[in-house]
Amino acid sequence: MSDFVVETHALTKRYGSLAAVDGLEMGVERGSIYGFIGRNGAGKTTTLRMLAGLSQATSGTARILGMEAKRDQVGILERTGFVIDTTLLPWMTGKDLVRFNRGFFPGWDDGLVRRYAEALDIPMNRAFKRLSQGNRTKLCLLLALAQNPELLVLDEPTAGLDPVVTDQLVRVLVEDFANDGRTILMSSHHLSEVERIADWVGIIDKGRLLLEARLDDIRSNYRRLRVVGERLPRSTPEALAVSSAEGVTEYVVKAGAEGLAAELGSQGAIVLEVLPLNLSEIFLVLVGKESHVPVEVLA
Amino acid sequence: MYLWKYWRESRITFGIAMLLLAGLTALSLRGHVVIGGLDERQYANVVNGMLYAAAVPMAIVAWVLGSFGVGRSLGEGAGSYLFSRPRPRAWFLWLDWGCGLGLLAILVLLYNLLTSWMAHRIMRAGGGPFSGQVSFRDLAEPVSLIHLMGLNAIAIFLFCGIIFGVVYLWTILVKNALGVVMGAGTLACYVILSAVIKHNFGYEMPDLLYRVYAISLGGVHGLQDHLGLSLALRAGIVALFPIAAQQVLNRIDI
Repeated sequence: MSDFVVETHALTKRYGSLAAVDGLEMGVERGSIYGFIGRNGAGKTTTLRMLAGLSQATSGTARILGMEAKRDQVGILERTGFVIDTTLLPWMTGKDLVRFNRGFFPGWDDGLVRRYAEALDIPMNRAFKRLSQGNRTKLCLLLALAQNPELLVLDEPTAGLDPVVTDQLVRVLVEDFANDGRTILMSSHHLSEVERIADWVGIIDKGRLLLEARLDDIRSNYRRLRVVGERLPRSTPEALAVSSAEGVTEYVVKAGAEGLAAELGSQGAIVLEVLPLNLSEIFLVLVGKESHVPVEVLA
Repeated sequence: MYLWKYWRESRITFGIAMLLLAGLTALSLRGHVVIGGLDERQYANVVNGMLYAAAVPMAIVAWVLGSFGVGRSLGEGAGSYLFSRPRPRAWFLWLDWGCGLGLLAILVLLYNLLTSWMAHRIMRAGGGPFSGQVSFRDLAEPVSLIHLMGLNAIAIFLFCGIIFGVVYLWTILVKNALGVVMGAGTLACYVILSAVIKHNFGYEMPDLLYRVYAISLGGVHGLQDHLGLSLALRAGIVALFPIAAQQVLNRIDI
């Protein structure tokens, strides 16, 4: 049995000639916190909407918790908490929404409702339309958590929230949910937040997955080399990007930085420094490029 | 749970319709019957008119009720939330449908009971042998008022079902409760088109409200031919709207 709770193969969504998602190959490991990052309009939300069955794929397949998204949508929805839009039924209060949701989910837990309503300080007697954005998001998350899902799929969960609310949500997600060995797939364009909590990242741009890797592997293998020299190669097999400015050439490599440094040194170049890269730098290198590199999976 | 949601959204409309019904009942209890001196065929016309009078308020209620449910939720931006509950999309639609038509059935029945009771009072006040019975020109035997009321209730219910269906389908198509406007437009277009076709080509398109009586200038003749078949066909047409709505709903991106 596959240890991926989400797998997509050649998943594509087209709107006329525009490919919002273009042949997406993605795998989310069981028990991981997967940060799905990309710029606005990169295809994150469209992908998550296809996983939730809200949008139909033009082609390709998606499997969630071992079930085919097209065929067993109800089974998937019973075991997965989706927070795609933070708009619920506007006239219902938090208590109404709890009552409304309870009957849909066999694993519904009223204890979790009480616990998170208190911990997150959500006014449960106020109509949804009268809640602040922060409370709306918290209520959406509460409802998803109370269904006791195996997988939580969140689309930009902290968008528009202040740092205090963001911190509250992140704590709940990481300390309560993910620590139980359950999986989170979370889209975001807040790279620092993803870097803080995720253990896997997928970077999507123009509908294509540019990178899927463990965050630890990125931290330990990805390097920036700053080199001075003449007739330096403009590309190498290891390099994701090569750029030159003011006589200094920079190589961003996904692995083998030491080997490349040695090779360049043997050609007479001077390697000024070899620097680790953070997620933000990797993201800018990949998404800032004019031509995309093929998807790279680091085990 | 979902039934409760539908009820919460539609209860004001239902409540207003019930208040109107209560008001009419109170008025008729306090009123005096002034019609007298009619022959039995004139009574048949009066009864016919009174029973059909229930169609007007019912049509308005059906028009409003058609805008509740999935289409409204889509318009409010809650579609993603609703359809990420573990049920097929059709499940929501058919529950909307069942609730809406259930409320309409209750109202149609009550309104018809009221109007038939009022008709009965008029007939009783008129005296004579036709109390509780309605005589038609082409029928040898008079028909009981209860029988007529039942047929009328079915005809008005099917009429409301068509209005409800058209509006509901439009709310899905435009993903908004504003489907009520499109629905009203569609129904108005049908009525105008029927009139134009009748005027220019002499062909009569089916009325939205099926009249169970054969009527001509001379008054009410009797019950329509093939009445059961006609009502069954109407019921089939009513059922086509949720089927069409389901096809649309299953294909659209939320």
